[in-house]
Amino acid sequence: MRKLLQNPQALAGGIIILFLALVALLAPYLSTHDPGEPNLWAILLPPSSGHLLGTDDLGRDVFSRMVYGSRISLLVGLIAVGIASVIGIILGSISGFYGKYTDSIIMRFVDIMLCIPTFFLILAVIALIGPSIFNIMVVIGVTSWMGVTRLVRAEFLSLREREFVLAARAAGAKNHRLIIRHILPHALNPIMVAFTLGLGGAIFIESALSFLGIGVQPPTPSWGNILTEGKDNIDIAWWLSVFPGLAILITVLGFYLLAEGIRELSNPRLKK
Amino acid sequence: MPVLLEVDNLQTHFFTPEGVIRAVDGISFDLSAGETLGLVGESGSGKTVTALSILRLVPPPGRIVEGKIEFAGQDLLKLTPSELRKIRGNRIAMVFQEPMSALNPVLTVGSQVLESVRLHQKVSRWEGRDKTVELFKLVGIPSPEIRFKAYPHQLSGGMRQRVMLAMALAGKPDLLLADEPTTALDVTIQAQVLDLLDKLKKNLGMSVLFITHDLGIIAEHADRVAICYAGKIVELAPVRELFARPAHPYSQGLINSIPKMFSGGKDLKLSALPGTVPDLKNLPPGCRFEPRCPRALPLCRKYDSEQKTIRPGHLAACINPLNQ
Amino acid sequence: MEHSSNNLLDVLNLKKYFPVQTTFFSGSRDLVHAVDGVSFGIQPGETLGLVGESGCGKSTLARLILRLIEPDSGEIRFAREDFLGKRGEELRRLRRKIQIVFQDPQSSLNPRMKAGEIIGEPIKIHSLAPSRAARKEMVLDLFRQVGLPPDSYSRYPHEFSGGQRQRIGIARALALNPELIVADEPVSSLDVSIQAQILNLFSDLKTRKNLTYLFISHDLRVLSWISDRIAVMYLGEIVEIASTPELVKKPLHPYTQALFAAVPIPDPSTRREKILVPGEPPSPIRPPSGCRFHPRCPYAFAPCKSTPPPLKPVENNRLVACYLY
Ligand SMILES: Nc1ncnc2c1ncn2[C@@H]1O[C@H](COP(=O)(O)OP(=O)(O)OP(=O)(O)O)[C@@H](O)[C@H]1O
Ligand SMILES: Nc1ncnc2c1ncn2[C@@H]1O[C@H](COP(=O)(O)OP(=O)(O)OP(=O)(O)O)[C@@H](O)[C@H]1O
Ligand code: SF4
Ligand SMILES: [Mg+2]
Ligand SMILES: [Mg+2]
Repeated sequence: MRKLLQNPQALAGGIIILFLALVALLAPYLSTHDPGEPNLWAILLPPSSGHLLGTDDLGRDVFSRMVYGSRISLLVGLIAVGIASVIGIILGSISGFYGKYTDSIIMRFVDIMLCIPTFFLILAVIALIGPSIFNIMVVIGVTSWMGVTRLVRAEFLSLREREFVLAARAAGAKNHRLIIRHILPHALNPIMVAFTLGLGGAIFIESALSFLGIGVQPPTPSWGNILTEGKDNIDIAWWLSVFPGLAILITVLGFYLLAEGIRELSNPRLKK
Repeated sequence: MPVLLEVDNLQTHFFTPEGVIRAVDGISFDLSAGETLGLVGESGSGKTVTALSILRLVPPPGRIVEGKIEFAGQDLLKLTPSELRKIRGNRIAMVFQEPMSALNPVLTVGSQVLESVRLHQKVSRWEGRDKTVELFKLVGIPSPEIRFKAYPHQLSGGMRQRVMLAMALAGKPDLLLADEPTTALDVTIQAQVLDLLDKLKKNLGMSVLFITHDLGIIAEHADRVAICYAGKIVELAPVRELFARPAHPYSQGLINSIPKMFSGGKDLKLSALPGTVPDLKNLPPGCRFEPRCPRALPLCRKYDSEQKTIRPGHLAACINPLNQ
Repeated sequence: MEHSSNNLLDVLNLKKYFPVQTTFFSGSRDLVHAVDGVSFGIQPGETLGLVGESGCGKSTLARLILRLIEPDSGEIRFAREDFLGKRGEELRRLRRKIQIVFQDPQSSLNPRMKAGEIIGEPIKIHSLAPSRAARKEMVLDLFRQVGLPPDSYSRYPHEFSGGQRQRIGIARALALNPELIVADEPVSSLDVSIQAQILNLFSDLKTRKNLTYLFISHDLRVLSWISDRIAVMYLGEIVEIASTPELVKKPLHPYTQALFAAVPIPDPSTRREKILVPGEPPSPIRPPSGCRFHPRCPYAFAPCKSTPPPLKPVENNRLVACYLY
């Protein structure tokens, strides 16, 4: 952990994410206005001391909407990536640990999933089952576990032949013990990298879906749908597009930096 | 025999965030022309760092802090980088324990040896090629023309080590620093490479500083031996003398630790030294072997003994030496 | 096959070939003949040494005996029971009696577990201790037996020296009170002075606990000290088995002779002219026809090239696979 703080990338990424998390947690205290409350007297105002990031075409305070939007974005990201990681870790462990036919079947399945363009799959499924925050989280989750699966499988393949695993096997340890106690803990670092990278990705997908109007539905604010509303007035109210866009960019960047930092630290060749 | 290399009170330390590692802490020895000096010691005793110091190739955070290294009348520590380059590889060459890490994996071994041939001798590519093939023959690489085009990973460990030797010999060195050149090899291959080294040494008149942790190899191939312990040479003697009458308790402990092949006795115990080597960041104040020494006196805990002449040509750093 | 069995372990014609992809494009599968028809027995209380050069199949054989990998064919009998036929609970019960110590104490200890947990794990798996406190007591007792300080309990492997780590590995193997310990080069990565300590420990434990060892090493000096009998392996086959004194006095197989000639003897007064074998061990993917040693053998003659010599008895219970005898 101390090493993580000494790594400049991880530190920068960590600070960005910590900041975001704080904003999301403290949303009720940070917001200056009710995010859903229209104000006909204050339509499309530019940023000022009264409205830090200006107002939208209904006169709602953009700053407050973005603060509440961060909750949605982070929540969707966390749960979606959580679902993807659980699926990925289970399938990857089984695939890498048992090998042979089990492995072949799971890996073929991964290949098939990877052939389908994920984003269009998500679009299609959401169009079918209807957009809701819950649906979005689940759909993003069940369409983005392939990377984690491959990664966990690769880790397991190299770890299962390690001598300390063999020693536990010789001592009579059963498979679930070998997996949970001896192999999985050593695969945690790469899993964390994938998790962090995945978060950035999931937040991005959620924003994209909301931008296309089939994500988080108004009036619930999310960075994506603030951006959508902004695009109609982009020529007269730049702040409506620029701030949510920046927020998405910085978040994805933050997670990327943190992931790179963890990766660097867990790579023994770079450690020296 | 004239003295070729003289190392005097060499101190090479590593300045790490956790503290100063005194890897080489006052090492002195000399090496005559045509002689093989064995440098023996356990892992971490400073053998490799000594060799690297002679070539002034100590990696940071390491630094030669003190001492004198005189080679053929020149003080190596006072040479400019360009003067040093003329000596490295030309007059002093080195072979390493793990030839794989010393060879470039994406170039053929032939081109790598050719490169060092052309670096040291002003010859054309074609002449250089012939010289390389000759070198390959010299170090006993079968079908050298074919092996010339091989990549390092296509060769066995023994063949790679021969390539390293060929490369080292390209500059016709006066002194070869051999850092555990056979440790990674199987015994039958090790025996071949050691045999080759002996022949090369005799035919080319080289001096060899042979680094190893195997006293058996020393007994069979060295003229004199220096025993290294935690960054210091604790004993320096002609080979026969060392095995017949070791003076330092550590030397004797090492000799006794090796299982004797022909002893036969079943329930005999090996006389093992107790304990482990000290932490180089935190050395005991007196003799650094004192905590493990069966002959330690109260004095040993306070004072570190100087090198003393036990018999002509036989030095040991011990307050209470054996076989006096 | 009839076999005189008061042996603790019998290995009969064991084979293991590993498939390897040699050419990248064709995808043709070649086979590494890692263990190729190995048979031997170990009596209770005996130490059988197994010597051979890198890649000759020693570790594969060790793993086969522990059933960490499954053989392609052959039999393993432990205390006259068919070990390979065992499944489930029965397998776990028999496994307790055979334990392994690995070469590299660094990689054979889980870096994220404390020494106490590592040694306590087998006890836990087999529920050998009635309570947590009893388990700790057993672990502390094992520490004492292998010469580790009691405060080792809650330290991690990287906080120990190489020799101490190997002691942890030995304590873990002892935890289940095994009858047979397979030691796969347990001292090869240690410095001589530490190696001597660990060899003494193996020898002590053997007498104290009446253990049987299959002791693997590439160092004949170590093996001739610790073993009662020595088996010599070359390219997946055993070429000679004899009692240690006899083998040391008079190695019969030309490969055994070559091994002995190559061992550096730490005694400068006996410097000798060595007869070295030329060449290197060939690839185990396409082992030579006939006697696998014939391309390097100074005595090879016509029959050596065509038919493999069987491992057959010569004088006093020795077995040699060579047409010279
Ligand atoms: N680059 C480095 N940074 C820090 N410490 C180092 C470095 N290189 C060597 N050392 C320290 O110097 C000491 C001596 O190392 P050296 O490599 O000379 O030992 P050695 O006798 O060659 O051992 P071995 O038999 O293992 O090769 C060791 O304790 C090592 O930790
Ligand atoms: N899982 C595997 N897949 C493919 N080949 C293997 C595998 N395990 C071992 N081998 C091959 O089988 C042969 C025997 O290997 P093994 O590890 O048993 O040798 P060893 O005698 O223990 O050698 P060493 O002294 O180097 O430990 C080698 O050629 C090795 O490359
Ligand atoms: S069988 Fe022939 S080739 Fe093999 S070891 Fe004996 S003499 Fe040599
Ligand atoms: Mg070294
Ligand atoms: Mg092995």
